[in-house]
Amino acid sequence: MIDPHFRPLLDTRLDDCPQAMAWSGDGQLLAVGGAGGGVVVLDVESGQALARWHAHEAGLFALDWQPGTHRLATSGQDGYARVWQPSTDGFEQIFAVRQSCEWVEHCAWQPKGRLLAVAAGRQVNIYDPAGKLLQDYTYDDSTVAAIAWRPAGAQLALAGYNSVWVCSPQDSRSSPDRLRWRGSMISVSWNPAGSVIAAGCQDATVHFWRLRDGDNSQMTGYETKPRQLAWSNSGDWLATDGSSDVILWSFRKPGPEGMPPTTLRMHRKPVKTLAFAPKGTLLLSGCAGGTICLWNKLDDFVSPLASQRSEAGVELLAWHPTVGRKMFAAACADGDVCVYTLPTVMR
Amino acid sequence: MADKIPVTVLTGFLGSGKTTLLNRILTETHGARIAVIENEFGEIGVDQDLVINADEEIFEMNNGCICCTVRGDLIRILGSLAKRRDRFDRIVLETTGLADPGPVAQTFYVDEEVREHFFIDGIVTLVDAKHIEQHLDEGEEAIAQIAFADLLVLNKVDLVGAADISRLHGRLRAINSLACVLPAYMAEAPIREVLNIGGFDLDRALQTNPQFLEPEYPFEWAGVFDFPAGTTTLHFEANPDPVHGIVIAPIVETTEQGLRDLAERLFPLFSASGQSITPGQYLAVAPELCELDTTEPLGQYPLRLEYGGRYAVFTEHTFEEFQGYWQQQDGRRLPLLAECLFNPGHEHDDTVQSVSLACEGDLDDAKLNRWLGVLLQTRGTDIFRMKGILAIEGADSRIVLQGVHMLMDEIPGSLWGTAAHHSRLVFIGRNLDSMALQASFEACLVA
Repeated sequence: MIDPHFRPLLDTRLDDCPQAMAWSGDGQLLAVGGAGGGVVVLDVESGQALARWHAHEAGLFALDWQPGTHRLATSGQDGYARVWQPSTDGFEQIFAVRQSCEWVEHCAWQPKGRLLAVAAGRQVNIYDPAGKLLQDYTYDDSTVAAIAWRPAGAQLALAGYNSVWVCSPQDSRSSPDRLRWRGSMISVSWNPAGSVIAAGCQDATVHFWRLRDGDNSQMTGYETKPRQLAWSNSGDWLATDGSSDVILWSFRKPGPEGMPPTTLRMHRKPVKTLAFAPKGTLLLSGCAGGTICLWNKLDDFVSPLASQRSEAGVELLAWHPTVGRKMFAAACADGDVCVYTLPTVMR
Repeated sequence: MADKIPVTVLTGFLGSGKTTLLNRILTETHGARIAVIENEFGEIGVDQDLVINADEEIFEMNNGCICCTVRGDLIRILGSLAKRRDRFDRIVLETTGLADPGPVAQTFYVDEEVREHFFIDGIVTLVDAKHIEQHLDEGEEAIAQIAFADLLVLNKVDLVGAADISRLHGRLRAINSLACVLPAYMAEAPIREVLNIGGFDLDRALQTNPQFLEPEYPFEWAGVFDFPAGTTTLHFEANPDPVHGIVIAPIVETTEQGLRDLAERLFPLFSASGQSITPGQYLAVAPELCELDTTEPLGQYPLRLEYGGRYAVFTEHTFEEFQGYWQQQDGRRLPLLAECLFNPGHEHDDTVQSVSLACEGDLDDAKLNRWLGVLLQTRGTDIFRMKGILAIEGADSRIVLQGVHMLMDEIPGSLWGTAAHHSRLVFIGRNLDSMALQASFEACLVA
């Protein structure tokens, strides 16, 4: 199954199982954070690791580049969210904000905006780029399990037990809209137009809401809890995990209600990560068995791209943000991080 | 199971010694790397790399069934720890004093991610010998913690007398016949017995509880007396329970074996409804079950016989416990000719009990699954735990069955080889009818 022509453009290693990975907005830098707290930043042009440091003593949960900058926010198990920027010898901390509990599980910059959302336990804090606290929310039913900014928007979705909150942090007087649904929601995602919110649920379903009319629906039939919710750039497709198959729901009219999903079958182990290309219908999937598959929904083209150098599971996949570069990064459970470009034949 | 990380769950009321035991585990397990999940802010007195404080978050699954509650905090934390599993060898989870172990145990059945990386090595319940009886009488939490345990550490035994310990031991055993009971002072239980319990080991259960395979009787004691014709009066000078079942039956063979043979025949009487007798009312002879109203102190219950004869008296509790004796009309007490103690299935008033079932030969897999399926659907709420080692027709190895409320798991155990096939199944639950369960279990045998 291994394509001999398909070799990584560059690779590096982390000491740990990778926990989070992100490309800077301009595509120059790739940051990967390990579960143990280490971060490596790769410079794509030089192929070198620009910096390698221990960002969080006890372990790292999340990282995200501030749009339009080379500033990196990280959060971890030491009770802090930290923001870093390049310096002469690596990356230096600009500021650190203490949270109400030790496990700071999420941090995310507002897309095209300037706000940083940090979630720890039930508490979600919103900061300006200098680290000043602007707004805070206390989610009442449980620890916040997932957060997601509305693409190109000012709203932030929080998911947890029994509801998804839609917050508008820039409007200090508004209180969050609550989308109720019984059960534990473990992931949340907006479609690119910002008109649909989908949540992966502990009870092996995906729930979604159409925000315009408040319609909501449940998609069932999963073997295990779906966590990955990847939208195609057009918003036509929602790809999810939840078994060793990739499950693809069509959001073209009339929508997924009552329609069977497309099942993409190639992996032999549970799917762990999914990524739609920044444009078009190319979809990457990685599984616990170490295989990465490339799918094209339009012509049903499927290619098992690469069996990694070990059997280690593919934890994270991320496309380079530049449309047309056809480059992506893959991080595996053994700490292997590789950047690939698609061979011309596959474009 | 070899590649999964063992999780030891510590439960017990506030003040029962969980934190002391946890600190001892951390100090005394040299070389073992332990991640600690704490639901209660305890004083961890040891430098520990990985200590996670968590809020107890109980999530219902969408079907609304209370048996399918899970611990959301554990799913998140264990999911994260799975990515760092090379950093530690085991996990110790300390729950809050009032925590229900049910959702904790169910998390390990329900969540795929947790199942893939972890297993419960044992649920260890710390029991404060001085206060546990009060806790047992006051609420469900203590009973659930004891019912779920694989190991009961009876702590602070220095604060109570030997008689209390023995009584407590009996009461704990009646609730949970499978758990080892380790008496301890300052949570000084041998650590190697607290860790590596390794789930269910029937051999171990048999070693620690030799009564396990004996039938359980609805009576605790039987004595033989020669009754004269006329009236003889039963006196009770103490009355621990408000109602006391008693059966009086003629007996020929005045030996222990004779009493045991008679016991087998009288067994069903105790599950029939009896005749309620208040002090002063006349007792009746078998096949009547007399249910003595013992709410008054110093109860007296006369028995009138037309002809004298040798009778056995079976009582729900021991004569000694009630300071009972038979007095003739002339004031003399009847001498006790022989007596016998029975393993009581219902030693105390706790409605949560262990029921041990056994049968010889192979079970029909389809029948067994149908029976267990219906039983767990209808009685799952009342069944805390289920453990068994089963002989299934066509299987070369023993089948090890484990269950929590409505959820169950089967894994192959050791090979039968030339050993005779037999099955053992234990339920720990509320208001279970052991005879009906035994009959249903036997009905699953291959025809």
